[in-house]
Amino acid sequence: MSTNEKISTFAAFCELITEYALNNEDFLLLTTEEVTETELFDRLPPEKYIRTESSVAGALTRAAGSAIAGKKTWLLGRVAELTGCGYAQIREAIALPKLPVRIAALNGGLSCAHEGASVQLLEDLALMRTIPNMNVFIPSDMAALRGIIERSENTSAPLYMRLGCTPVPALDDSYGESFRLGGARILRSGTGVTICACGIMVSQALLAAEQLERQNISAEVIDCYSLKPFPESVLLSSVRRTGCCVVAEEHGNIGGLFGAAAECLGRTYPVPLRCVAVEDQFVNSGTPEELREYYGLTWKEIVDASAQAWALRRR
Amino acid sequence: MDNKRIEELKSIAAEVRKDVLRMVGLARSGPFETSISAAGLLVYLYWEELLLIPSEPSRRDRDRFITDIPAAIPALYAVLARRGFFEREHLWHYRRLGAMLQALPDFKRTPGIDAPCLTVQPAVAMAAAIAKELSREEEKPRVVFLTGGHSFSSEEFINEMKHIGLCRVPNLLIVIATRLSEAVGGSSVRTDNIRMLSSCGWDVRQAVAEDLRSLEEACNSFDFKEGGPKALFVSIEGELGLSVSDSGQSETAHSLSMGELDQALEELEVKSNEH
Repeated sequence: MSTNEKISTFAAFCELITEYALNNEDFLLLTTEEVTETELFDRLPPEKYIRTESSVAGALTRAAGSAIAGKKTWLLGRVAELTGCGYAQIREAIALPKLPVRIAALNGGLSCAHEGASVQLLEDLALMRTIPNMNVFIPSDMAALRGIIERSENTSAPLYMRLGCTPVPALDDSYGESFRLGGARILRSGTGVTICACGIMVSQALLAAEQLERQNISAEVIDCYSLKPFPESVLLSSVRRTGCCVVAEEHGNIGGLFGAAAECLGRTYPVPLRCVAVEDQFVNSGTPEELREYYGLTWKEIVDASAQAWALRRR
Repeated sequence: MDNKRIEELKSIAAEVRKDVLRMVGLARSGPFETSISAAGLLVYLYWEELLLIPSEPSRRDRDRFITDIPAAIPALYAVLARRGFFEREHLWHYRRLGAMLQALPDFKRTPGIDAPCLTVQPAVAMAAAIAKELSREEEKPRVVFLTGGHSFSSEEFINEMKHIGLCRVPNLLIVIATRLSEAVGGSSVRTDNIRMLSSCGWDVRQAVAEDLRSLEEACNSFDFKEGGPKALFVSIEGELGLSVSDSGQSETAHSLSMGELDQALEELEVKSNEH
C-alpha cells in the first residue's frame, strides 16, 4: 500500500485481521449482529469466523467462553452497543476474570454521526479505561493497527480498540521492533510544545504542527495509540523539553486521552495543559466533517490551544 | 446405582450441607439456603457424573462445570473440597480478604473452578462457547451448566437458549434446578419451557434431585457424542425447613450468629439421621 493512500482503521482492520487469522491456528473472530459488513470476512474459514445472531450481551459472554476454551478471540461490534449495552458483560465476563478477549469497536468517535447521539458514544474510551485489567488502544493508521494486532498476542489481558470509518493517511510506514503496547510514536520532534493526539486527531496534529512552525513554535507530535497502559515516560520526556502540552482527541473531554495525560502530568510534572476535545455534551447528527468542524476538532483549534499553552509554558 | 451407593452419596451431601453452614457462619456473611438445597445435586454431579481427576484440575479432557447461581457457590466450594480439589481448611476462610475462596470464585486461582460465575445474563452463552470448542476434540469433554428456573424469566436467556439449540453442541448439558414450591403454576410453566426447548433442538429430560436414580437414568439416556444440546430440569423437592433462613437475600450481608449456626447444625444432624 502506498503511503499516500488513505484508508480507514476499520478497513485496515478487516484486511489485517484476515491475514492474521489465516496465519494463526487458534484464532476466532466473532462479530455482533449489528455488524453488517460480513462479506469482508469471506476469506475466513467457518471455524475462524462466527457472526453471532444473539444480543451484544450474548456475543460478549460467548467471546469470554471461547477465550476460556483457549481461542485467540476477537470480537468486532459497534461502539454504542459494545460499550453502552455491553458494559456489564465486558466488566464481569471479560475484565474481571482477565480473559484475553480483544474487542474491536467500530464507528468510534464521530464517524457514524448521521445516526445522532444515541448511537454516537463519545465516552467509550473513558468507560473502558476505568475498568481494571482492561487495555485501551486507538490506532491512528494501518502501521499502528498492525502493531497492536501483532503485539496483542503477547498479552493475556483483555483489550479494547476503537476503529474509525473515516479514511486516514499513513503516518508512519513501519512500526518496527520498537513498537510496543503501552508505547507511543513520536511522529515529529520539537521543543516548543508537545501535542499528544490519538486516532484521527493525529493527522490534524501534524497539520497543526506545520502551521505552528510558521509562527516559530516548534511542536512535537506524539501519536498516543495506547491509552492504557499509558506511555508516561514518552510524554514526560517530551514535556520536560517543551514545558507545555496540548491533548487532541475525538472524544469527550472527560476520562479519555486528556484525562490520562492530566493524571500523569499532574502527578509527576505539572505543566500548562490544554485540551482539544468535545465539551461535556451529547452531539448532534450531521456528517463527520461537519461535526468535527462544529465541535472544534480540527488543526485550527490545536494551533490555538498550542499557542496558549506555549505562552504559559514551564521554563 | 445400588442402595449402598445412594446412602453413601446422601451421607456426603449431609456433610457438605454442614460445611456450608460452618463456612457461612464463620464468614458472618453469605447465602446458605440455596446451597443447602443444591448440595445433593452437586454431590451427584461431582461423584457420579462428571469425568475429572481432582489431582489434575486443569486436564484438557476433563468435564467442565459452570454455574450462574451465586447463591450456590458455598455448596460448590464445599463439594470441591470434599472431592479433593483443595484442602477443607480453605472453607473456613470463605469471603475473607486475600482468601482463595472469594464470594464469587476466582476461576484462575481456585482448583476445580472451570469458569467465572457470572451474575450477568446470558452466562449460558459462555458455557455454550466452551462446549462448542471442546466438541471439536476427540474426547468431547462435556460442559455442565447449572442454572435456576428463574433464568426463564430473562428474555436474554431464552433467546440465547433458542440460538444454542440450533447449533450442534452435543456435549453441552444445561441443568435447570427449580424448587417445586417456587411458584404457583410452576409445573405448567415448566411444561411450556420444555416444549419450547424441544422445538428448538434441545434434548430435554426431567428428574428429581433427591431421587438419585432418576438423575442417573436421565443422564444416562443422553448421547453426549451426537445430536443437539441437552437440558435436564431437576426438581429440588426437599425443603430442609431449617429454623434459620437467609430469606432469599443471597447478596445481602445477613449473617448467622453462633447460636443460629449451632441450632442449624443440630437440625441438619437430626434430619440426616432421619433419612
